[in-house]
Amino acid sequence: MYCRRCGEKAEIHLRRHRAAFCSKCFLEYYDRQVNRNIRKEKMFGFEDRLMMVVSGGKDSMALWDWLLKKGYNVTAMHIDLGIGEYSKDSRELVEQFSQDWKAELIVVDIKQEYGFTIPSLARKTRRSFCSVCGLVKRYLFNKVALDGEFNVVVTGHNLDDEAATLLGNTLSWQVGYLARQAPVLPSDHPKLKKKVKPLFTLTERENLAYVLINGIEFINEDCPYSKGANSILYKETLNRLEEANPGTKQRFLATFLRKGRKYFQAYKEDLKLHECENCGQVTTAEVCSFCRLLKRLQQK
Amino acid sequence: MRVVFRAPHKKEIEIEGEMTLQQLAKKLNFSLESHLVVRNGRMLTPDEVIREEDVVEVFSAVSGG
Repeated sequence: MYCRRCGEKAEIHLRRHRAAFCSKCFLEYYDRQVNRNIRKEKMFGFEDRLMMVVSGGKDSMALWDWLLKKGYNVTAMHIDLGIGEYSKDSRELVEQFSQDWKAELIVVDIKQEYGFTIPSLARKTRRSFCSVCGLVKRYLFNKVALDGEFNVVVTGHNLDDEAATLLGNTLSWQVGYLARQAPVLPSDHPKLKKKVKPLFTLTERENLAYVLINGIEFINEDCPYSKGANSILYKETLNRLEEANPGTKQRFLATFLRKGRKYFQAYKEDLKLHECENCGQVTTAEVCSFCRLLKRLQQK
Repeated sequence: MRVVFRAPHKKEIEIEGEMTLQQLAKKLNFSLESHLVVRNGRMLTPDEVIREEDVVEVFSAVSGG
């Protein structure tokens, strides 16, 4: 196969675009996609202080590298979840990249900060790992961004993540979640930060290609607790559909955002937001779910 | 050829003969929709022929949790 743009030997075939690219032209394609998403969805500008959530996986490492190369004012934020070797390796990798690039990095070590790890929290509160992990992450994304006076929280969610979430929410008709799913989640409260997903049109495979071409180290293993997660099943199912009909994932998400999402707006819950009486973070209850979880932990 | 799977579980497989990447993926039952295959630091398109003496690395793109 030969590159569609320059005619050189191709390195990657993108069936959904009926195109093959050499590595140089692929990076230009990647660039155009991310730039267009940021501009079209009015995500952020060069004047904004960005906090980029970095796990050490290929998607967040690709986006961190891209934002630094473009000269955005970005600080990475990594959470050490205390999940054995997986967390240790992820942290080391992110810290090494930060050193190599002289890039700003905030590491939140939850064991040091709050006295628990995700496995210990899940066991003691008898909740699933993924549920407590999600709760802790969402809480910290906003808290760290607020404490650091960042304008925008940037995440590495990609097309596969978004299409899998959409499939999951559709299968159980989670109308409230369907009303909210979007590449930009605006701030609904002065203490809630805007969240954006600049990679929402790029597949996991394209982000993997970006890190391989650029020689960026990344954690190439899944969280040990994600085995059997529904999100992986949904992604594999969507990839089978994609094999039979290239472009399925993109169509599913893009047409939902363009045509479907508006029909769910009536189900958007009109949440009364106020500040947690314990920590001051925004919540719908008197005490936020993070503080309630910590209280349960202390009672055990 | 030697096929090295990087993730989720690292494993190596020896395969005799030469074939295209498309044929290799079919033989080893992995999807080119969710994997990238690298030889000598360069990614391969499905029509590339992999020879007996080659070592290729297979990277899964699916991550989750």
